Amino acid sequence: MISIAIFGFLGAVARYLCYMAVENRARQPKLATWFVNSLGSLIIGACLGAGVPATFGIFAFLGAFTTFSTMALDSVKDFEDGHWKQGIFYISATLVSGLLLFAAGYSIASM
Amino acid sequence: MKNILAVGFGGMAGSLLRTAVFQFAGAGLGLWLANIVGSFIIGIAAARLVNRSAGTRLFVSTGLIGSFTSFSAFSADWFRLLESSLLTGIMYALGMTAASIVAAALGLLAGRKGAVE
Repeated sequence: MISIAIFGFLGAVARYLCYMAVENRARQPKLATWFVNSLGSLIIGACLGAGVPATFGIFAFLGAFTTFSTMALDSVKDFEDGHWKQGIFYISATLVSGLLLFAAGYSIASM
Repeated sequence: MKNILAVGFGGMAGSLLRTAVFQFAGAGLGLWLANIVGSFIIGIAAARLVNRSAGTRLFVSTGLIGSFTSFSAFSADWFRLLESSLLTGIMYALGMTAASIVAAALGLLAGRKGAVE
């Protein structure tokens, strides 16, 4: 319980720092969301592949570090602005890279 | 520093809430609930918190709801389902994504409607 609180705190802050780092360079918050979701998928794949127990704090960290709602909202904004291709590309790129990186992390760690 | 604390405490609350939902509904169904409900609420928040302080928006949207929903668990579940059946895996991924996008759109509409009335 306390571990979830602490690692949830840290995961959200780490995500926010990624937003800051990306937004300071270019005003492209979707890039930061794509980055945290991809990196988080790679790391959770590696953890599951290596057999890290589910109670470990890293899972609470990754749960908060990655986000689904921000991705959904950003794509809705794209669709609303008429940027259909951009929104669909963003969603597809996130889903595919998340899956591929999870698979990569999983297979490397379970070797 | 204030912004970082707002995000952090929001993330703490969101993570605890997600854990509670997972315990209540199970991890599989719990992720559907968290991602769909979270997407609906972030839509409302996007419409209603426009004029609030940065700290409030960071606590609610970036911290609380951002952490309540999760993508890493989604990738893990998707991968496992794909391993057992290609069709089930693809339907799972498209289903959760489409449901969350529709939920965010409805939340945005609901929030705007409420703000006008």
